[in-house]
Amino acid sequence: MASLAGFGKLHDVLGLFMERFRILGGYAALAENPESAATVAADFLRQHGSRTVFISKLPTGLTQPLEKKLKEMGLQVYSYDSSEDPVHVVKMVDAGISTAAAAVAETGTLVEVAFDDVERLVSSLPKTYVCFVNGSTVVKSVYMTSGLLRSAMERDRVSVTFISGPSRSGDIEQRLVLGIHGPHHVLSVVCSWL
Amino acid sequence: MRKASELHHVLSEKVAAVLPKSEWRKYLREALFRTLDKRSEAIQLMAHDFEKFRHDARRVKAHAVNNLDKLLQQFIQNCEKRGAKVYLAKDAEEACRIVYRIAEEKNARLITKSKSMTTEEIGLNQFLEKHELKVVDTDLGELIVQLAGERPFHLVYPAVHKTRQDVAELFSREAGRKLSDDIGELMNFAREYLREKFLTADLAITGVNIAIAETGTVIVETNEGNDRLGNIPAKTYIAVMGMEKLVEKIEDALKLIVAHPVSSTGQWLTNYVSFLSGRTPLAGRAEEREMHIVIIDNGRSSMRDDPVFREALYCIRCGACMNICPTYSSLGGHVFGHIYTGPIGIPWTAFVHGLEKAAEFAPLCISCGLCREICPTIIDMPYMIAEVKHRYIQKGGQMFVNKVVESYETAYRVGSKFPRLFNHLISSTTTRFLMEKFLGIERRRTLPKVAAKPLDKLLLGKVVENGADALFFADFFARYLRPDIGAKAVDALIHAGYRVSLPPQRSSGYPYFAYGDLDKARKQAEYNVRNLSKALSDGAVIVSIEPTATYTLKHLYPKLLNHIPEAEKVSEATTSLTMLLHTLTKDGKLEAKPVIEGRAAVHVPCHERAFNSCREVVALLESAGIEATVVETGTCCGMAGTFGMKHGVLGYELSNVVGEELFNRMKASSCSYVVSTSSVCKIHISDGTSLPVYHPLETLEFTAPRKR
Ligand code: SF4
Ligand code: SF4
Repeated sequence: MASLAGFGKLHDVLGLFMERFRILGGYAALAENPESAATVAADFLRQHGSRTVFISKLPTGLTQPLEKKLKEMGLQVYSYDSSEDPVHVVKMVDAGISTAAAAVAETGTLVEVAFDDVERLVSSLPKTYVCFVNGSTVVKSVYMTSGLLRSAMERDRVSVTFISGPSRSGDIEQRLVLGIHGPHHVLSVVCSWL
Repeated sequence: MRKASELHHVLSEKVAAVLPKSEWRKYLREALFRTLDKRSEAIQLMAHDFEKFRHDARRVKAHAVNNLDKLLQQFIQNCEKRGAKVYLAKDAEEACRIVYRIAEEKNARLITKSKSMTTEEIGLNQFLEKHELKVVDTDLGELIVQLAGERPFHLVYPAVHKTRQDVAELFSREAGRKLSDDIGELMNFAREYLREKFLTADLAITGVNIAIAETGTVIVETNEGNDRLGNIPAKTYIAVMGMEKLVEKIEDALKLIVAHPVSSTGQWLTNYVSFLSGRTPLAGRAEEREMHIVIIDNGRSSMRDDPVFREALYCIRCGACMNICPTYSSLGGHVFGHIYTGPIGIPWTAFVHGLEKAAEFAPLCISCGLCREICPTIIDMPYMIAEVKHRYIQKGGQMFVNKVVESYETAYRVGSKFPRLFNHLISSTTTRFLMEKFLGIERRRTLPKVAAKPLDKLLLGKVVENGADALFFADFFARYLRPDIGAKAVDALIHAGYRVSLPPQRSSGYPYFAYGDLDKARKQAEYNVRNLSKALSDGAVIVSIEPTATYTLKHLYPKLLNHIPEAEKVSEATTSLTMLLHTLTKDGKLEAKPVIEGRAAVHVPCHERAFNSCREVVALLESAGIEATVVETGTCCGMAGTFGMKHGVLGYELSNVVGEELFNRMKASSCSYVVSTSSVCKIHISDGTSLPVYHPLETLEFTAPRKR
């Protein structure tokens, strides 16, 4: 796995993001190139027993290596096809993959900007979820997301979601249990080459 | 309007039913205290300057409430531009009808709903079910209470009172098979059970945490992600929100999305925070996907227009006030609440469900003031609750026992003329039996003895008439019970170089406030403020040995007197005596020596917390070489002034239950004695632990610094 050495000022913020994301029960990794990002994601899916995966948006240059890697590992890959009801497809798959528009270090948060709800489905329904995030979009605090929110909201219809780790519930005896409705295993891959 | 005695009877029965459940109470308290611990950790991490953080959050809400009409218009316009349909409902009935009409139009049969107190407030489930629609609550806690046929127990943890065994039983019934009480298994069942509902529902309803006017955005926060699973697949989505959820800008919303989880569950952020601006298409299809936003007034405009209750609209529903509330954490939300529970539940209920409903549980507020201290938007709940009591007693009358305990000062004033007789009477079994029977004063409660020598005599030749730089506010404690401690405080100040005066004064009148007799409280405040402000020269301080008195001068009088300059002046000059003495010893202006041997367990009275002065008590004792540690539960000891003196479950018995955990901790601390600045906490702790309890000044001797 890539190290944070040599990232200068970004070092603190990326390190903090990954640390906080892990505290929240997620997994976090840093990837220096598309190949290593694809490997980290594919390994994660394998570890969690995924056999089918739905891919939505991916960062530039990642589609090919990732699909290749997943297919090599025998995973069945789905992507958006307008002829089918996406709910039917996404509810069948074991894992979802998409890309966050940004991340917040202090709170270990992925910022998902969705102009179509297929994006939200992918990060909500499957038991395992992998999210790529461009390292240069990781900001320190929640308060620094206002610009991103404002520009996203210029579009007529948009859903922005702050996702902080796997879904959780403490409703029975306040014992924290991960993965109640949404994903149970969540990996965020910070792409440092972007 | 039912009479106070009728409401008292109903409430007493409810309280009596839960008081014996000690195991359940232990479980509940642990859960709430755990939340408070997590909250403290999150504050450390996310809001180091917590006072600023609270003021920022309050400013956001205050700005929105001050501009509500304008923001509402802006919000509606922006939502409509995005294709959402917006409805304004003046009351619960209208809101339910709007939702029902939409459901009917869409031919919906199955509806998923994610946690929303506003839909609980308007009774939406019951309304829709009456019209044969099936509504499934999808938040796990809500699902549990729905299956149990109960209402939410807590604002944030609706099913916190249910054990895993209770949940297993409920889920087994629903599953038609026996489920174990393993939490993982129960969660898996809920996941499967609800997933099918999510994917087949015709319509999804969510509540709204925040709404942004400038963008026409609703924000929904959930940890489970159930809001998303509800409103992604369903064609029709309805967001139901109270109009107070509006803020102006994105930046305002960001402040609140942090304040809410930090103060609520102690999380940095809620797991899923969805900013929904219009309805996003699914797989490119936008036509069939509708978004409806129902904005509810239901008493909020009246709240906004009422100067005392306006700030109730600043509530961000974090639930912290119920976690800290001593009586809530002993009784739970089914006793301490209607639909809205706990401290903030009282003013909210008064406006959305009626004054009488609120008066049914308002007496459970014992005016400790802790809810105000913890609230992230600094809502003065104790004041609003006193006002609810006040408005109710205009119609339903005041309880006789409350009038009796309110007049304690008169009794002790008379008693001070014949101290031996008075002290004999209050210790006699016969008198106490009669007092319990006819006055409602609990016979098992130790009553403080009146002092033989009045304060004025002890201070003869010590206090000055004019030109004082410290005013001593004696209150009931130093005036009638322990003038010796009052005199010691005055001596200490004189040793430190102060010129002290004792202006004309009455006791603070806090019990009037606690029982909602605000007119009497105001009279007392007027008298004291007039005399204190007259005697107050520039830079002078006002001190008292009783924290409730200090708290009253500092926080209550300005509000009671509509912030007149004299009250503000008195408030400004009032300071905690222990803080001042600690500063004086630290600065070498005073020396302190111990007069009692052994280790001290320091109790933190609620009104001392408002000054954040408990550490100073420890430091003061330590500076004299006394080994001292704070022993506390973080909440009230339960005595609450005169509350614990009243006979019955709504007095002595509840006060003992509230205090039980503190007593256990005190006894387990292996300290030789307890130190408390409060005269009434002292009685309660001494009754509850059999340990000697002293005012800090009793354990110390102060002298002027030796000349070098
Ligand atoms: S009143 Fe304050 S502490 Fe209570 S729930 Fe509302 S915001 Fe939280
Ligand atoms: S003042 Fe104390 S007793 Fe009253 S509601 Fe607030 S926390 Fe509870």
